[in-house]
Amino acid sequence: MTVRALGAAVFLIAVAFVTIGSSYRIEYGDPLGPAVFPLLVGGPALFLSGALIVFPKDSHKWGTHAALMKLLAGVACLLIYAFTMETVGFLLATFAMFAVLAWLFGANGRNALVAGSVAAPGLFVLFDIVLGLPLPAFGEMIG
Amino acid sequence: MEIYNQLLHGLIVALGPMNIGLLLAGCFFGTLIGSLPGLGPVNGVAILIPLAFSLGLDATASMILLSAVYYGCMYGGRISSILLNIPGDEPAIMTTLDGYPMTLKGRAGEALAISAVASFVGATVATVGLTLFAPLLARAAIYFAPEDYFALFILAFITIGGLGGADPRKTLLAACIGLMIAMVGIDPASGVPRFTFGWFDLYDGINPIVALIGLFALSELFWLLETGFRGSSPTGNTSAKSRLPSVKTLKKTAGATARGSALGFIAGILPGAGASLGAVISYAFEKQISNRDGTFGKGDERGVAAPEAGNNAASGGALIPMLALGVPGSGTTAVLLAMLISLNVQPGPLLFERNPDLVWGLIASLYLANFALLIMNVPLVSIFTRVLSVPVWILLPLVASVSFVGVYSISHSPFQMVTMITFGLIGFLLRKCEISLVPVVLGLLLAGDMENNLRRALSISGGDYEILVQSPISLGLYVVAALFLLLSFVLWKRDNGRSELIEDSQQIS
Repeated sequence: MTVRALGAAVFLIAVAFVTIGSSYRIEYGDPLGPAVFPLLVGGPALFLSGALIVFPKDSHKWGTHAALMKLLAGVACLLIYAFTMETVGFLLATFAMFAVLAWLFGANGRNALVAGSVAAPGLFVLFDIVLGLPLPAFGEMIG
Repeated sequence: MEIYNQLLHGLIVALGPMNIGLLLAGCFFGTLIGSLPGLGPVNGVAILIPLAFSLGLDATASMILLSAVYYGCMYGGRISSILLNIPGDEPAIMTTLDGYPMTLKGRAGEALAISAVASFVGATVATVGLTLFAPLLARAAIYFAPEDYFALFILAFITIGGLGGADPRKTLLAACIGLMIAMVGIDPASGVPRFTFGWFDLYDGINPIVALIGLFALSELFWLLETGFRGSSPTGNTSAKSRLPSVKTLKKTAGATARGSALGFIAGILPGAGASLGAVISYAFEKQISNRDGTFGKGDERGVAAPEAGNNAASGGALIPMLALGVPGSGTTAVLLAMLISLNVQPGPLLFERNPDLVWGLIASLYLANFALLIMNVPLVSIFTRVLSVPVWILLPLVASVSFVGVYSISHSPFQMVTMITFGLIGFLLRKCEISLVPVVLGLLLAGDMENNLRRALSISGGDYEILVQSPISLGLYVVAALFLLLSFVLWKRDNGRSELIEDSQQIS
């Protein structure tokens, strides 16, 4: 089922890809043009994803409900991290992200908090001070 | 003689104080990354690339650092295989079969030593092969016209799935997905923005490095979140001390090591095979010829030596097509190619003429790395065995943090961090459907070059598509590609459902 769904998704994307791709035109010069290569790629993609819709073959099972919730929580945690790191600063954001992920991977609450509060300044010192990659320590909230 | 001089020149480059420092650091961190379960050469090298960029290393230094990490990972992967029965990375799966039984018999130290020596021999054989064959291949490739390159790319996409019995439809679709993603951005020849939907962040296209880190590092993290970490808290004996292997054991394993090295090297050169297949083939072959008393699987030294020699030889062999043709044969070499392209170094036949410092400096440092790794992995192995007790709930948040720092340091943009997460999810979904990620990366990396060669060929012929099948080289490549495609469908039909091990092992490496 997963393979069929993925095949269908890729098929729809490939339809859009080929439709949009074939609209690109230039008037002069290049004998290839911007449309040919996308069509060369999109065509097989249509065919192959179609084949996966008609004859899907998968053996992998999805995890339990709890595991899927963990996955969603993990994705949400990383997205929030990406959007807030510059505003709240590397230290605070990394502390939170680290602690939440550690907890999702099975640490107890206390260990997760300790891990986060050691890792955030530790990583900052390693990357910003030792290796010289500038990171926004406190973000836009302070300074 | 020429090779000797070039190698000497390379040695001078490699022995520069900066490069030798990077080499040792790379070997150390590589072994460390390799030994940690869940981190292997592909994701290890991928998350370190942005750091190499941000530190302002040039192409030669970056390549030396990351190839040392690559070689180191291949050594390190065996440690947790042997001690904990958890492969440190995919190519090390085969090492668990006889390595862990040796540990159960109290011979962990011996298993570590034998496998380190086998790794050393395998990697050295491959490095010698690289020294001899890469320049030859590069010289032959000078005669390739644009239409021949176009055919070569087609061949690469068809063979990348290898002959492991994976579903060829999925591998080919994966390549198409990579090629489609690579189309996003401004077409360099015509200036037309393609598939950008007026979104300025997409005009530059998808940064392959960012995509790689998402595909390999974050997808692994999502995968482990969703499946639960198997064999989480290590309970095995992680305090084993390595000893020098006795002459008797070395003699007993010499044949297995030699055969494993040769087979692994060949598996490495073939596009699409890579280190996992090298280890699988070497183990299977050794079992066929040496398992007279039925000792394989119960802690036979030869069953440890063969796959370790095989995977190390394959990883060296896989560098040959990447350097000489610009067409990588495995996941990790694809990642290394991405790094070189990002540094404006185009691998391929001209690399050997234009940038001998890089090529020969790299080759010389691979020899040095091997010696450094042998020392780190025999007398000093207890440093790495201690790392195995790091719990997953520290390890994986750390992987996420380093990935984010890396991407942030090359882009300073939340958009790129979100791109990375998106690719992590794409990678996760593809792996759920048993679709290999390596062809996606290959498509992403080679699309530009492939389109460019097609364009050049058509410019030469004035728009006549017949040029694509007029040269004997391209015709030959198409014939090989067609045969390979046929063979992979036949093998897939035959192996349907058989040997999940191989399919699993091909998902990442």
